[in-house]
Amino acid sequence: MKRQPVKQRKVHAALLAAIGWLIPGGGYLLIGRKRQFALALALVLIAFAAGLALQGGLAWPQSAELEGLDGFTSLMAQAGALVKMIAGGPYLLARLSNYSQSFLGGHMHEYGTTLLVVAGLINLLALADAWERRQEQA
Amino acid sequence: MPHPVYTLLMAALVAGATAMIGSYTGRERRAIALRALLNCLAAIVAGGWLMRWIHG
Repeated sequence: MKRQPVKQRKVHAALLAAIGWLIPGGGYLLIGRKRQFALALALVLIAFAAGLALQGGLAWPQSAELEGLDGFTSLMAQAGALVKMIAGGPYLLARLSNYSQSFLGGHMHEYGTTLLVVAGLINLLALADAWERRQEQA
Repeated sequence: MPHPVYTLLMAALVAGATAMIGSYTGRERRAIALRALLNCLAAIVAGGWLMRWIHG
């Protein structure tokens, strides 16, 4: 398949990671890939907004909530909470506006919780891809 | 949210994410997204048929 003719600028790795996290798909914007940025932003916002609308759990699991779980399940619960944070700006906005569905509450609304995790994963994918495209230009 | 609507939303998100990555032209990205969406729909239909076959 043909390569997309994109004019790329040299971007500092830390800046790409920071902007890519804060603004969903922002890494693409820094290396001049506006269409990919628009697509990543739209996907993350749609997934995150749908997750909030379905009352997904956004809070970090408390130790009392993890009580009785085996080590692996507990680790997976914390990994899921970490991935939601990778959604970046939308996650921060939701936390700042006092959206407070607890970890266990999120399990009762698992459609929403899954969508919040998907939003974080898409942003992680966008960040990794922007990183790889940046490496190509070096 | 009804289960089929949720399933379609997830399929659309997967298709979009698949088309987002890599160095492709816009036309190629649209083709990748469409193919991924159709693959998801085929998997949903096949999975649904399998469940019906198992449970009756």
